Amino acid sequence: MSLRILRIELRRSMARVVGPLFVVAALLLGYLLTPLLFRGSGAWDLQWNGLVIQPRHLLTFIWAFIVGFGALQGMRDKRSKVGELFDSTPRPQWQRAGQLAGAFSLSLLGGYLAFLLVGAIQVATNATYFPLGVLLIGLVGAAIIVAGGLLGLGIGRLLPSFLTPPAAAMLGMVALAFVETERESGFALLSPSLARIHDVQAFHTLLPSVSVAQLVWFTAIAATGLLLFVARRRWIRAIAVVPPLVGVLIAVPLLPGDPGKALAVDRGAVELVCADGQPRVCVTRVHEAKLAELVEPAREALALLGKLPDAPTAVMESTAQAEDGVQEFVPEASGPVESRPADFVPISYDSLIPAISLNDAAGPVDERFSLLLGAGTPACRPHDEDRERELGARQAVASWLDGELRLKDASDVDYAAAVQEIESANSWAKRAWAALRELPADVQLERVAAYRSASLTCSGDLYSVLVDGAR
Amino acid sequence: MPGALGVLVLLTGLIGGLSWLSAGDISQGPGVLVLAMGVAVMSVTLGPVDIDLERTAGFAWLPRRVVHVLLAGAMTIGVTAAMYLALADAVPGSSLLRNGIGLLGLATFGVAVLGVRFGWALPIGWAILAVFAPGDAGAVVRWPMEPVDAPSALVTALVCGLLGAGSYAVSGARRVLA
Repeated sequence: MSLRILRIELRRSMARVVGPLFVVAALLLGYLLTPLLFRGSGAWDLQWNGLVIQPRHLLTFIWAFIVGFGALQGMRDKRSKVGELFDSTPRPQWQRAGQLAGAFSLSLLGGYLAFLLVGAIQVATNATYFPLGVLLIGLVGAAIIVAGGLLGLGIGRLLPSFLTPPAAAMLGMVALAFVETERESGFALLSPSLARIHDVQAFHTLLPSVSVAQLVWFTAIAATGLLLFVARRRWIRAIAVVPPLVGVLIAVPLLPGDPGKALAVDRGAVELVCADGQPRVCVTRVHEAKLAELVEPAREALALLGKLPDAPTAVMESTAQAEDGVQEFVPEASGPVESRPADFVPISYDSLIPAISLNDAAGPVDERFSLLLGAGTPACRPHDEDRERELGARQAVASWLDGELRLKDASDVDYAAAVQEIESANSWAKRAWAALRELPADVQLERVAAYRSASLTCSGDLYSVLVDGAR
Repeated sequence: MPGALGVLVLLTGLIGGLSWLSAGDISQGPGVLVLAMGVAVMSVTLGPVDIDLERTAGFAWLPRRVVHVLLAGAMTIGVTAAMYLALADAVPGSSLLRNGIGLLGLATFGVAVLGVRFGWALPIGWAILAVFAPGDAGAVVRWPMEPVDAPSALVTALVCGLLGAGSYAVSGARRVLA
């Protein structure tokens, strides 16, 4: 064995193509079809878990090609009609084929790593929380990609025909699509892509047992491909059917019955980290980097809320919905009423969690003002047709606490619908503000306090509670 | 070509059968994939047996190539239509024709530019992209999945078709060293 041959294979075989091709295809797809990589607060460029989970979606498109190109490479000897010549040389077949398989795999691995590096640079500027599970999930990704390549090489050597590469690619695709139609069972997780997993949030990770099962399964596939490619004797090729069978037997019991359950809350990620001093200001560990800039506005907001009776005494990141079922977020209007805390202001960096969103896409305002919205309560009906009414009332309440009327600025917002929403909410806010200011000072305070307690239970029409004193 | 036809029928049966088993009908996605697969398999036959020999031949290749492409297209569409006849309620004739023209164009363009060995990557790639892309990816990306009366999808298909037929008819398969 010598590195010389490996180096030649890296330069002269398709190994020189597949790695770079992988990077280009993955980046192109990722940035062209943005929902694949950038969905949810655990997007590819935001969190380490997302960095390794989200690229699996791209494999839906790429994996079949890895198999097809592998097949193309696998039939090289036959196509060049050098089989007899090589049979007459003393170097054993497994050595030659092994070198090529190694070069091919190395190239794919290099492509995968280079692709991850592009994301990793971005994540490094965003995230501080790096759980070790990320390494396992990333390793599984590498195994899936290499397994595809080796499987292709094996198929190509087994059936060296011009028809093999497209047929192999197509079969890879069909196998992937077919496995994924298994909605109800863990079999879907044997697919290279994580088809049933969409909104990956900042505190999500893949269950370690799922990663282990996938690692076993794709290592088995890789072993089959390698056996088919390297072996010269028929009976060794026949053995190649064994690893996948063993792999399935080991992997399937490890997989959850519902593919959506593969995603789980990372306990380390949702741990609360609090700033020094009082009152308490806490965020989850995944968002630790945001704590420093949150502390000051949060304490200012708490001081302003102190005017109210039963005022909240802390600002904490809500993980309410992270604790129960996580995979299917149907954003209910407000979340369960019992999860609306009275003793602290719940915040979130994830628009799917019912809390005061601090990365509000609809109109950037400063954090202090955000925390005062609705007197420190989450919106009750953020998805209703006439939500602008409530949003306006929330702004008016926040303005009252802050001392002056403040409107959201729609000039930086791109979506026409969002601009319209902001403008409509602003006009409701102006009306509510004017009505509120006409009242005597003690009634104003009473109305805002009533708003807070009504909003905590989501009872009644909140705008009327503020403006008309309705109960 | 007979071998290719055999593989084509086999794979069409397999994909069609699987999707029929899981859904009871052939929806548009599997249909597009079957067609792309057929076109890809047919594209492999577009290369000459000996490319150097072909170059030295004295007769006009252009009409022969055109006939070859048309034949390949007719066979692919025919086999896909047969699958629909056997397993589905109705044959979506006009979308089949549009997708056939577009994908065949991609395949012939691939063969002309990348050679027989890589030509299949274009139709299969775009078909997978179209079928699995998120719904908001745009009509040009998802053209084979669009309704028949979507103008941008039709234009994309025709452009692909013309580009492929033209480039292949004029230059033939690209010469690639084995």
